[in-house]
Amino acid sequence: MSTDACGHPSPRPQLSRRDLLRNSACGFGALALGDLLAGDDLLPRQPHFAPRAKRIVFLFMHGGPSQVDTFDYKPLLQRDHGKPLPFAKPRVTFAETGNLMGSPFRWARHGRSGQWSSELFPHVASCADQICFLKGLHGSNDAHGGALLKVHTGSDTFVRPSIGSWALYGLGSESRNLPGFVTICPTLGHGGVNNWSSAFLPAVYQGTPLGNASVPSDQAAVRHLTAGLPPAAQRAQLDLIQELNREHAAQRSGDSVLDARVHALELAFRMQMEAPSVLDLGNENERTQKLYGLDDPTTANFGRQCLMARRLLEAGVRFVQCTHSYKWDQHSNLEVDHRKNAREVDLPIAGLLTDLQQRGLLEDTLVWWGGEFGRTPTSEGGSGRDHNPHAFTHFLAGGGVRAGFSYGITDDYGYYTVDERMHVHDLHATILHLLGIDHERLVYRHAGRDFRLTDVEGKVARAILA
Amino acid sequence: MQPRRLLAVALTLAPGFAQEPASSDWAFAPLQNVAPPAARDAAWNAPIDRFVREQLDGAGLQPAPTADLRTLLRRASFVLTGLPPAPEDVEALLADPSPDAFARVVDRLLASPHFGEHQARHWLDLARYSDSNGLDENLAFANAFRYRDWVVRAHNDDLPYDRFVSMQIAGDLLAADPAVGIDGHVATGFLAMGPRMLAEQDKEKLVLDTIDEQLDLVGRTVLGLTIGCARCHDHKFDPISQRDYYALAGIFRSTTAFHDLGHVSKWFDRELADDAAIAARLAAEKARKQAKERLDAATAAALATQRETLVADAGRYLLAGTTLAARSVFTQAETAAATSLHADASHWGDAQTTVLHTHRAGEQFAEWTFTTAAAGRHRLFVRYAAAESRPMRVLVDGTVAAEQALAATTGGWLPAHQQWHEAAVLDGSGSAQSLRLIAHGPHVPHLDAWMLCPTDHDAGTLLPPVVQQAALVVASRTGDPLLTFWRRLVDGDPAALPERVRAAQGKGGLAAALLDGDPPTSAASLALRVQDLFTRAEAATAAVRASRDAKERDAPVRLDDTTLEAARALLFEGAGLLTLPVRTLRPFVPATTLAELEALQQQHAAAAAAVPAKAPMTMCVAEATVKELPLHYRGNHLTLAPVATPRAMLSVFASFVPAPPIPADHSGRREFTQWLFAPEQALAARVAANRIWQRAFGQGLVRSPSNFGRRGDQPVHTALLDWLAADLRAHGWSQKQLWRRILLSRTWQQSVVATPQALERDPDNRLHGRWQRQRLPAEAIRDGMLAIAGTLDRSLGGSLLTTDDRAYVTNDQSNDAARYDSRRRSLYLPVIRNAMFDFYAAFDYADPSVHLEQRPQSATAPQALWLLNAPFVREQSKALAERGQAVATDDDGRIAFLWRAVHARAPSPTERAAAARWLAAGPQLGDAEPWLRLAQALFLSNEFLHVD
Repeated sequence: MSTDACGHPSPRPQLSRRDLLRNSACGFGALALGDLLAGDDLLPRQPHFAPRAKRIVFLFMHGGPSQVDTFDYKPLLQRDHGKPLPFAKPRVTFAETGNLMGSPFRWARHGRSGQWSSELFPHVASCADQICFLKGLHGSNDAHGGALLKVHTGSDTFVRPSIGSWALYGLGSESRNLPGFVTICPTLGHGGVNNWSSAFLPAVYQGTPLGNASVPSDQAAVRHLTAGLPPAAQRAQLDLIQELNREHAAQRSGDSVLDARVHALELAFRMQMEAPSVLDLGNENERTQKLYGLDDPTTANFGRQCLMARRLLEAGVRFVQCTHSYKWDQHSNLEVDHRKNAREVDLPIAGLLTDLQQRGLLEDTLVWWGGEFGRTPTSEGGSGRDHNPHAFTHFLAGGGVRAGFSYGITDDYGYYTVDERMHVHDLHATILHLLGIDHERLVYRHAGRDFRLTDVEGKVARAILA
Repeated sequence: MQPRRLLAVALTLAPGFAQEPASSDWAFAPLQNVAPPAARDAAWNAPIDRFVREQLDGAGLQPAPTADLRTLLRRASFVLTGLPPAPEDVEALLADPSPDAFARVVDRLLASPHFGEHQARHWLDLARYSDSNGLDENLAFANAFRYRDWVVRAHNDDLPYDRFVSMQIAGDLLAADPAVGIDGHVATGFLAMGPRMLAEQDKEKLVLDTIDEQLDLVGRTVLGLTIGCARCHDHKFDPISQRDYYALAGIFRSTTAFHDLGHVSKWFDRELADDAAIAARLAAEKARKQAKERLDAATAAALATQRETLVADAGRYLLAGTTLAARSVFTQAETAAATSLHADASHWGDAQTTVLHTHRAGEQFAEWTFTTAAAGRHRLFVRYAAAESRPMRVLVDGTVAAEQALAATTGGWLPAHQQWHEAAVLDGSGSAQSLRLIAHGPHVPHLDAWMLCPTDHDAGTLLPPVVQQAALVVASRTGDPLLTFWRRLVDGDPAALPERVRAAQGKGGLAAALLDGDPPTSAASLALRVQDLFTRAEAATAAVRASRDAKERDAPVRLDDTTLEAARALLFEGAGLLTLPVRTLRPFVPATTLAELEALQQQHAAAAAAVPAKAPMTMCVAEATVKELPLHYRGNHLTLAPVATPRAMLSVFASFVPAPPIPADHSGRREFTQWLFAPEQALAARVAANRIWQRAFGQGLVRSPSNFGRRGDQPVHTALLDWLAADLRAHGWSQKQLWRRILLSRTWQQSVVATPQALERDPDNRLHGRWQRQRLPAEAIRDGMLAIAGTLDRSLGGSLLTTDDRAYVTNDQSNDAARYDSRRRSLYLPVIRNAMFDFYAAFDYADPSVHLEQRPQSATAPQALWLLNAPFVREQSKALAERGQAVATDDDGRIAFLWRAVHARAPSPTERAAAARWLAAGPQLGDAEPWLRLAQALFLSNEFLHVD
């Protein structure tokens, strides 16, 4: 018997809420204060069971890549191009679509595992033996905003904590000087901040954005991290402030609230000194930069995001998200634009997988790729596809995932899931499981009841565990 | 039976709540009729103090001494108004020996307009106030501020709390009461401004989610009950059944929050005017619209006649345009000789189109060199795409030719959105010149090409703007089969035409249509052939339209015959030969027609003048068709119980709180508010009194101020809370009265000093044996800095949002239109869901999408970074330091000034010494502005950031 999110009787959760409201020392998304403050809620915590992945990177393809044009090969769709869909369309659809439209791309099997990929992702396909494709995903909302929130927070109805915040709440942070949950160039549309917010979880668990989707990744930065003073002068100014604070505390009964602020100032100063070097890609050699496509204007933008992600993960950040923002929404002109989009991300993603592998990090790093929904096998206006939350493909690679594997079966045309289905809640449950967390026991008491990432749903897809 | 006994029975009978009544059910009971305990200490004689002292004595604890006047004034100022006291006010109070000096200060603060601002901020947290929708489509709530300003006024006017809340739930139904009036509609903004999943395509789900959000909001805000927990099943802890939920939900289902439930649903709003005025305006508006339709129909008819003439001359226009293009200069933007811009063919451009766009900060410009074919006046046209206005200056050889060019928007940023716009008229010299475009703002439109055409072209009987259009089309239209064919034969060397014709003959398609038979020998004769094609295409188009239903007649036409389709497309597809804006052609309409149009125009103008000005809009709710709801199993609107649940109030109170009957033709919101504030209903009064206590002390007597249920906090002081609630009621629900009572109590006036004994036995200060130190909320930190620096703009009300109503504040391109550089009080800064002001987010005001019962008071590194490095703090520190430089001439005096300004006291010797050391060391370490940094240090100090 486990916990129901509405607070049915359950064993006391191991990761219970602590009252951070007053004296927590940190927040920047998350900064483990480690030695500074005992009992801090960002201290690394023991998960429920041995984790297969210690950190995670989510490569989010905003707009909704088409499953039937990327990894979910449907020979009958090719054969029946132009014919009517032989079964009913969903009760609710976003736009009107017509007859079946075959994928305009060439398909082939790859690797020893023989996994299907279209020609859109040649480099990712070359890593097929490391990847576990999830082709039976389904969600519940066919508009971008709802679907983004669903994928990021599990709810397309209310503002709820992001999966990154839940992961950080469950596991704490490994880094003393960096945020524990970083999102690079996230979108401000379609839910915006709510896709990386901690909602009712304490603010220490919120995601820290580096820039947003309207700026190129070479301009993505933490806000207010640059001091207007030379370090020595700012140090002296800080000493002055702390002296005033000591005087203030001496005249009153000091308390932990005042101490916490003293520590927060010191931490900010340290972070200011150390964080920029982690984000400086100039520290990488030319070979690595090339591996991520930094030498090619087409791939450089997303490549930089992926390389930053690796550096952040290496430095102890728990959850990193890269966003390829709002490009994949091909209601028309899918052949040209999907090709263009894929070219921008294909090489960097493969570069990240290869780099993590070479550094021995892939073993306990979870790489997660996907969009907010898939697309219809039926044509919208002759050259595009509509949103489809009823079947779409994500992939996982690395820590604890069955490599060279494909899970989930859709119908002959890829419109609905048929077998080995995974709702977004199931995906979340599975990801938490890989991180060593029982999604039914990761709860937080709010507004009179216990909440979970997976609400009252979620089933771990055990078949995909290595 | 006594109400308490009735409650006990109700609790055991409550559906889904077959549990023994618990002591924690105190909150559901009627108010206890309690008298304050006897005073044991003459100084602790006020009713509040007698309750508190009794508990302290019982625990064997001594209260803390009373705080000094300076501390009390700072505390009262921040608690009541959210602003620091002026140093003069502190000094005046310290110099006032009269015993009621502090009481008079409290009265002054309660009467200050800033009281309403600060108290409104507390309420707005509960009301999840925002200036944008958030969730999926982050559209601006450009009228939300009217609700906010009303909340400010309500607090300043001490509007009775019961009416204050009733108006927010049912104000539209109370508007006939002159004491409520039009504000009744504004007040229901409370129900209206929730985050809605506007693009949710399952519209019934959207409606039910909206009701759920409203029920949850009202329940937690007014009753301290988590009613929303009963959407899917009976409440697990509190006596609220799923039946109760759908009985209340029926009231809100019979209320509308949307105008329509289209693809992106439209939330409800109305004019700030009474119903009769709105009806009169709508009637006048209808008359205007009819006049406009008559005008439009006549204009369309005139233009249709003109279209015939234009099509009949299209071949000649093509020829004239070609001649003009040959005398013009056409340049692709990316060939710029010098530019700060980035040439892009993949992101904003495409495979065929390279555009120039902003790449890095600094001056945005591009410069080209050109030579006109001959000297003379030229018109400069620029083709670009711009979704927002990004005007540029035009310079020729360093002289301004146009100040505000390219300001027009084109509807988007992509190649498909590109349009030609005239940018300037300038003199071409016939020898090498430079053309430079410089942006006024930080960005440029996406520039594709420009063209310089001589103005002296002789159009003969043709219309000059159409010739001009033809020249632009001939020079720049790509991928057009007919135009490509035409250019191949005509462009360059006209004498070579016969030879080119021979080479092209016999190739079928266009060649067959244009060259077969007697081959054309000149451009003019070829133009006649093209004209024939145009005429046939127009006839074919007309035939297609004639074959259609009337309502689809104007839909786009495509011709099956590829040759004719090429001709049609060249005329009318995209930027074609004859796709000119109406305004361009209007001057060429015949005079008789013009007179007729003029008359219609005047009629329309008269009708338009007769339309009264539209009053501002306000977000609100309104009555809808009554609809009661069946139970939704597991909260799912697709699995319904067979019968509807009659609308009703919460059943647990049924036996002792009278519930007014709900009329069959009204939603029942008015009756709901009557029930909320019925004398027998104690919960609303308890929750209200507790919130005032919470604002005064930082923590409520019930520390879960929006959850008085069984899972809520169990208070130590239930008797005191009941006494306060009864007192609130007895004084006509006056909140100011209760404020005054609390602030003048010894309990509130205690210092932060805590004995080790008190810290050990009452670490959380539940017994109120001392004042609990508070960190300033985000707004008070910012407002305090502005006030102290002397830069605060104290004007009241209004909106700082620059986005139009229902326009995107943050959009799917991640642009953020909100600005936070005002010096107004923080209350007035935009509150943008999905992209909260980073300062707010850092200081614990992170999510305005949800009811926020209490702000956390964290101490975090991002806060420190903001205070250390944000330009805002630097500006205020600079302003403060400059004031210090002006008022005193020596370091000692300036240091004393800073301490007086920020802390309203003199610096201690230690502090003086520390400041002096910094002033000596800072510059040596590379700080050029040690006074600024000293002022900043005071803003970063714990003494400023906390209230003792």
